Amino acid sequence: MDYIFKTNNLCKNYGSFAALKDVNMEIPKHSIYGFVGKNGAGKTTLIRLLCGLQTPSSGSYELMGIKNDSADILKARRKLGAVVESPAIYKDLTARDNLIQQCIMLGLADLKNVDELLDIVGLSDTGKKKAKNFSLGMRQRLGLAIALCGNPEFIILDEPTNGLDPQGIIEIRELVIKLNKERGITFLISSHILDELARMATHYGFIDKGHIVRQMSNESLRKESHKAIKMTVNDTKLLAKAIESRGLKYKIIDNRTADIYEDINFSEMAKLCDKTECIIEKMEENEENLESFYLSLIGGGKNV
Amino acid sequence: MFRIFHADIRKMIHDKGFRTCLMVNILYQFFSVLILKTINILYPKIVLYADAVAFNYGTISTFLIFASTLITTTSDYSDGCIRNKIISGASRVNIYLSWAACGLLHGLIHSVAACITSFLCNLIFFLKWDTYTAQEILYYWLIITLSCMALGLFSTTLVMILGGYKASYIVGLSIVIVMKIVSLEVLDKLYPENGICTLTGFKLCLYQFLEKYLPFFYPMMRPHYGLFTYMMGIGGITVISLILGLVIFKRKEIR
Repeated sequence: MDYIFKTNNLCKNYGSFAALKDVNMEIPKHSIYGFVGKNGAGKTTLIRLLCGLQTPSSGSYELMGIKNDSADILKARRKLGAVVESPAIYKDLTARDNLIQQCIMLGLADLKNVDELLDIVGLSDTGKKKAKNFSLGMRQRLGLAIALCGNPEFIILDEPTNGLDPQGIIEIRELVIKLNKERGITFLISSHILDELARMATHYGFIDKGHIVRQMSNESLRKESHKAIKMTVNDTKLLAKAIESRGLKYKIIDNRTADIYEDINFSEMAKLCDKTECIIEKMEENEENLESFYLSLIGGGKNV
Repeated sequence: MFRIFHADIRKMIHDKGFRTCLMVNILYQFFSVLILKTINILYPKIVLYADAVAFNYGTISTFLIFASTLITTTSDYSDGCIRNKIISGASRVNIYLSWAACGLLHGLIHSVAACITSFLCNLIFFLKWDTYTAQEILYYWLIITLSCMALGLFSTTLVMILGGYKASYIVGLSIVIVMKIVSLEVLDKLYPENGICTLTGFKLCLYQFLEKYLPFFYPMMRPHYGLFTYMMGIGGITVISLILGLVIFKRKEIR
């Protein structure tokens, strides 16, 4: 498999604090890589190293096959676009002028793609409005348009849906998927909205306390995800008695709800409950999602 | 480097801070002459000469250059645009050199604007030259322009070193204020209005050194040293700024 970004025992220390410890991570080409971790887990530090904003304490990385200590790394970065933390925009310029600015900086003589990019991100009708008067969502979209200048092969988005309204979130998601499918652009997306990430990512990397805990494809995640039947009953003690008679795996959530982790059909379940006089109020099949998988992997906690 | 420089000049021209400082520069020249002319009309004994107008810019030049470069460069940092340049594959050396060139350009543009405004004011108000020849005035503008360019570079380097934090404003403007106070003290002691200079020994040497080789002092007085002396001071601050800027910015971790 071809990788657009690969690290080799990458470490980053801030004084005595190790922000990244022996990180080994691979981002396959043409993938949408969802980068998941708590606040302070090391996501932004890794992104900063990748972007050349900081230097590794030890270890190395390869960007588009070029090592970080090679002089050609700057050439590789010209095929990189990123929106790290907040979008980098010139506030006294219009959206169009911001894109022209980026094109000039990249040495692109042809400015024809400026209008196309504005159209792609839905900012073509902003006219002479200066970027400082843009909403947060508009700024995010302008940041993405700037990242798209120069036809990048790899785009990094750090919290791309921050501050966006539901419509904006959907638009960014659809844009990412479209660019990935149509232009083959690889994306590295760090997001706290796991549900949103699950809708677009093809691969995942889970980071905790500076370590990559797990990397997997979307298919692997689906295979490893458990199916569960969520039941709402009059008394979970009666339900437990019924389930134990068949030796099924289960988890009591509260005195009226429980999850059953077995592939059992609804009529069988109803028969079992009938035996213990447990009344079923509601019964539905749930698939373990990215959030629950993440919680089971990292061990839960706040600030996901 | 030239594509970054091209982009930076474009940004500088569009920058509200730069435009405001340029406007303040021009309006200050114009209104100060207008006020002086009004005084002249009301009290004909007080004669207004073109010399006074020409040397007007020197009183605010350092503050203007620092404000202009601090606002422009700090916003480039805080808005993430320097970060964006690095991400886009620009080398840190090129980014710094481009901004250093912009710092020089700030000084040049402000000085040229002030020079043109002062000459226009002379034409508008029919002012005559008193004691200075055209050659002396041109020499003054040459020295003040070069010193403003060097100070623009120094101020830009300060922001690049401090990393675009608001502290850049505090440090930058504190330097201007301290230098203003020091220059007033030094020049007052070296050239007292009444009597002769009473300084001796180390203090005299130190004060003369500051006056000769610190470009912060140049706009405060009519030039009275040779070009070589002034170039030593201007060259000195330029080289020190460039070396410090390159060494520190190359290693700096960007926010």
